[in-house]
Amino acid sequence: MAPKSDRELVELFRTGDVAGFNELVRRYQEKVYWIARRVIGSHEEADDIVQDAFVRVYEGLKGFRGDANFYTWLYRIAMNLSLNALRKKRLKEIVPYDEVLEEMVPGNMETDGNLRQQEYRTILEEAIARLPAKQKLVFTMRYYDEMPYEEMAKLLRKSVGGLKANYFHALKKIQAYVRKEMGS
Amino acid sequence: MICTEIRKDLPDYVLGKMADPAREAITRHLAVCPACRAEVEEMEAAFSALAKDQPWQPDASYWSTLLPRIHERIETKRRRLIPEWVLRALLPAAAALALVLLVGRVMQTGPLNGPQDLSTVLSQTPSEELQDFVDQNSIDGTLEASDRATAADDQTVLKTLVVDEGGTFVDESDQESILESVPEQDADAVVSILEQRKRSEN
Repeated sequence: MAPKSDRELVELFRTGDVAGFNELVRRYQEKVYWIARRVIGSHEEADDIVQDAFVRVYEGLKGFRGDANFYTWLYRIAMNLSLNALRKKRLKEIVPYDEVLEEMVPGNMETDGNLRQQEYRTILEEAIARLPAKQKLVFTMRYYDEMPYEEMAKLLRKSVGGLKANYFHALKKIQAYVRKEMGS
Repeated sequence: MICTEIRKDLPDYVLGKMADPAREAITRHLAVCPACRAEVEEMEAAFSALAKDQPWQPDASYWSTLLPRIHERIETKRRRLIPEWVLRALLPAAAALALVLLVGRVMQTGPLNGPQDLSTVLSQTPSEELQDFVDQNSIDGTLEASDRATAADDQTVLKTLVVDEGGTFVDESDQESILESVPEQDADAVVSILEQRKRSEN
């Protein structure tokens, strides 16, 4: 039997069968988790966001418009929760952020011509973590999720040209940060 | 072709996500533009590093236990003493209050002298007006500002927003709940205003 479409699962849930919701969770849990994980960084926080996102889906599904795209709606919920969590996290980290970074990035890096792969990864992850929230989101959507610009434009209510510029600048910032930390 | 236009498409070009004739046009441009060629080389190195960066992945047991935990969370919310509809009714009010407080302070449209003033301002602000304000200052402005901003700027803006600017009126213990209650677009609007003000001061 062919798997049910998202719309059919939504309808199933709206008629009172929770199996529709459960199947939607199983279908999209990994995608939602990785949206959150890429934006927020840690597994624990991503886990919290993915649960919250599906709780909101559960609460909102009965009023969900049948003509709307379920995944687009879900993506937006996950995106908003992730960005809000990131804002709060950055606010809390205002003071210790640099100190933490100092501990994570070895001081002798500049004199070490052969960075170990793990150290390089740490810098790279820090570079992504340091992107401004929205730029990080655009980078995540395009690079990791490979979302078409047109779809991103619809989700973020932004022009394709603006998004391309955002993606480009995000990449430049990652490069600049890595270069600076490697001392070259 | 203009380099600035070309460069926006270079990430897709490097990752092979462009089709002809756009791809062909960029290839022709690269043949005669050393600066863009250097840009491509840098991007190739960056993408190559990103491709090797594989984060830790949760195991199968995580995915199989997620659904039951989501249902537990749904049940916990249901059992709350305050009914959901009351929370839903209260949250927009809290968000509106925070928005009026912060925007009033930031725009300096008249000093707010405490909770009494705030409730007066709030009661006199039509919800449509508030919505208009939010609509006009939504995600677009922040995305554009994000081109220029760094994460450190984000932090400065947020610190100014909540700790410095709001500090007079917002008790520290309330900051968390205000942050939670302010919808993303409202927060973006306030951040955008702060950024504009910061720029005009510089």
